[in-house]
Amino acid sequence: MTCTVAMKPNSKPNSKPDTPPASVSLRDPDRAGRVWVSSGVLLLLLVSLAGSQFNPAVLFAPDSLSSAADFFDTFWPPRTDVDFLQRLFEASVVTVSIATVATVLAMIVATPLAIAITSRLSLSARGRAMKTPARLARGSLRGVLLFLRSVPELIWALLFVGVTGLGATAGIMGLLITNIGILAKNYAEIIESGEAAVTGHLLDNGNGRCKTLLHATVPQCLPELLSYSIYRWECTLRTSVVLGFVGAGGLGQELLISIRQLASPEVFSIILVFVLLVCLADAISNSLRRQLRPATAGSAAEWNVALRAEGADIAVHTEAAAGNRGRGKLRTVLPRWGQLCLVLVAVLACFQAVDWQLEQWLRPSSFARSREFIQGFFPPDLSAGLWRRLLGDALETLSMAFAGTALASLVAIALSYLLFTVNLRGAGLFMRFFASTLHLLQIVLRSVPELVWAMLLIIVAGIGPFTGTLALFLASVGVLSRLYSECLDNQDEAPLENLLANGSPLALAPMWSTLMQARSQLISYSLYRWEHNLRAATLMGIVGAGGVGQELYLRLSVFQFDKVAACVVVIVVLVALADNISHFLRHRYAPTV
Amino acid sequence: MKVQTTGVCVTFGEATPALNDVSLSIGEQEQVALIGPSGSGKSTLLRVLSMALAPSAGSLLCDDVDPWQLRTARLQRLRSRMHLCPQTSSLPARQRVALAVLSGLLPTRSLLFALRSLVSPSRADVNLVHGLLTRLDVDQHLWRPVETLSGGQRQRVAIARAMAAEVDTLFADEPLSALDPSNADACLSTLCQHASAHRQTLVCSLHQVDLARKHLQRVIGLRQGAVLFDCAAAELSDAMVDDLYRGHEAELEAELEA
Repeated sequence: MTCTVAMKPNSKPNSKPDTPPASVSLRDPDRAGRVWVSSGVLLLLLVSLAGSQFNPAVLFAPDSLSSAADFFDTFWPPRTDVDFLQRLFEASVVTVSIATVATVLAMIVATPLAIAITSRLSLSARGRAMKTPARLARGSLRGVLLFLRSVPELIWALLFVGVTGLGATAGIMGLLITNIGILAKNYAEIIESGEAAVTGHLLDNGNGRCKTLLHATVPQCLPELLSYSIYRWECTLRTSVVLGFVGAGGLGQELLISIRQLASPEVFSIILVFVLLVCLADAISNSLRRQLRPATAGSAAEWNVALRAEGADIAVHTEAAAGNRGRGKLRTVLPRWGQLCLVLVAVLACFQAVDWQLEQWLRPSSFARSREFIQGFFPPDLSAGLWRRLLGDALETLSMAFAGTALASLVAIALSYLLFTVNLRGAGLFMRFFASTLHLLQIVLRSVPELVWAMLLIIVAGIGPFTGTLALFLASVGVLSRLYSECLDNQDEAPLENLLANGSPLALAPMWSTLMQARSQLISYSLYRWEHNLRAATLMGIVGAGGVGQELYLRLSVFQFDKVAACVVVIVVLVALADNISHFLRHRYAPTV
Repeated sequence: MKVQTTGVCVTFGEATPALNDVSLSIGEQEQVALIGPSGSGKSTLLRVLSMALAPSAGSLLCDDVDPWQLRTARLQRLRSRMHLCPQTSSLPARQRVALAVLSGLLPTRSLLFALRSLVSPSRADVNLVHGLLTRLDVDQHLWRPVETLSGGQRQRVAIARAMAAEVDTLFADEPLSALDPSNADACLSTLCQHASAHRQTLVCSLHQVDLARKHLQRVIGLRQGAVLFDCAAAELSDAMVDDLYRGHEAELEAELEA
């Protein structure tokens, strides 16, 4: 036998196995850091619980219990008469069409933008530093995109409703603008994650940008780009469900009307339709994306690992894609071109189904109104009184997002750990029943958008940031526990099996192996979720559940556009800040994802 | 622990069984080497002996009890009396070495130990780990994540973990495969001394025939899933070794060269 000492190739330069320190301290070097970080997080949690007026006792006060009982008593049976169902069907078609149209248009606009901002296709950067004008142009374009995606879809839609009146177009515009920002950034990131030598080689041999794009970048990245776009469609559909809350058409509008009328059987039917729609989108998107997996990446896990390097919320999208593996039924039914035609027809049908309200948009009066509107925004209100209030609102928003995410992470990790050990045990009937109940709960929790949870919770917990926090908490438990479960399932099993084979207790062994392996990925997911929740928290005010959105909604309804502009500035700063903090923490402390 | 097998067979769905009618008995505090060419069933036998794998046919008796007739909880308690150090390094990559070694104590220590060590191990435990690592010459890596170690260092950490375990039987599956000859000699001698000092039974599969002869008392030769010989280490002759490796001479030569 030859003695081969396998060296780990990617160990950090300062920790090479060959050059150990002379003597080693027996004091745990990480202890102080751990104590600091955990007490810091705990303190932050306490502060944010206070800041979001967290008070579960409210839920059990006699008042709220009785109003909840009034509303939820009549939940069952859901309303199912033909008239109502037909209305719901039409609303669903509108919702799906809005999402599809917005995504497709955003894809078309984002593609050239992504090509423009990626440094991979820079000619001036070959063999030297990029020239200043090129760098400035790319940087400012990135800045614009950052602005576009920092304002949540719903806020854009709200502003467009102000210009063009109620209707689907405002919703489409809202989704479109944010999606352009998100898609262009992530397209560029996908392009940059590919092998640099492939594009570089063509550029160095004197090919132009177009040829390089067509012969290197596109063949290299197309599956990932398409896969990400489909994932984005799924996300857009989730958002488009709530667009109706601001009068931008679709299912949300129906829900708003039903809740206002306290018609709980209708509310229940609509929520069922939500869950159905989101599950359907999930299934369609997974089935389409599974086929985009390149033939070279043999298993779902490999494809997953290959894409995880790309960072951003791409990691989450691949995780979700890899989760449901091995069920490619559609492929066996239809050949590839058949599916392509099907998708094309569906997209065209969506364009057809949308009420474009063109005459309303092109009317001279709406041009005048838009001008008035835009002029109203400048300059934003800078009065100290407003900004003091906005600062309070911003802190409230931050508290809601942090408290919701932290509590959800704790509950989610407990749930997924429990599920993991139950599956490990190859459990009996009771445990299996328990596990499938949890699965059902996960699906319901994550298919209903945060804003809808907030609307329902207002009935119980009243107006205020506590309701918003609770809504963020519920939706996040669903999403995080699913991601956590998948992450635990994807870890290397050998260490766990060895611990178990040596007689370690079943409840503890995964803590010492699987959980240990997965922890930085789990933290990453929580950070993504926090980013997402901060975005969502800025919107909670629209339904009265606290945060900076409340001020914005109020000012918009009384046409104080300069004050609205100040609110938008606060939202952009908050979202951009969260983006950067989360990005920094993920790359500094959880570099594996 | 006294371990006894009677007519043990293991098949993994292939035509040829991994183990074919293996009957042997290993007494308390015995130190046994398993040798044989690759694919002869050494790892499978160790997994059967350590109750990690139920035999397809035949029976296993640990202290005159058939573990596979026990309820799962009792089986798990029985497993906590022995430790299997598997061939492929099965330490969680991102765990620090100190904790990886302490995980050997997980079956026998309390819940409190399990939880507090995850946060930061106690001073006494760190001293214990450091002592073991020093004997294997990897003490300087105490606080490093396992993934930053080389294959040989990892293997020594795995041996330290086996030595940390509070058990009466140790099974080691090629614990020396990634070590260079001088290290291999030293580590095996440390392991054997530790086992005798703690009155532990030791069963160890090895590729290095000369090391098996030098450090262990008894040698079992496995060929094609069956026991070819089972004798005291002193009685092992070159002819027997040649017989064992017939058709696999290259492996033996590579070993000698190393």
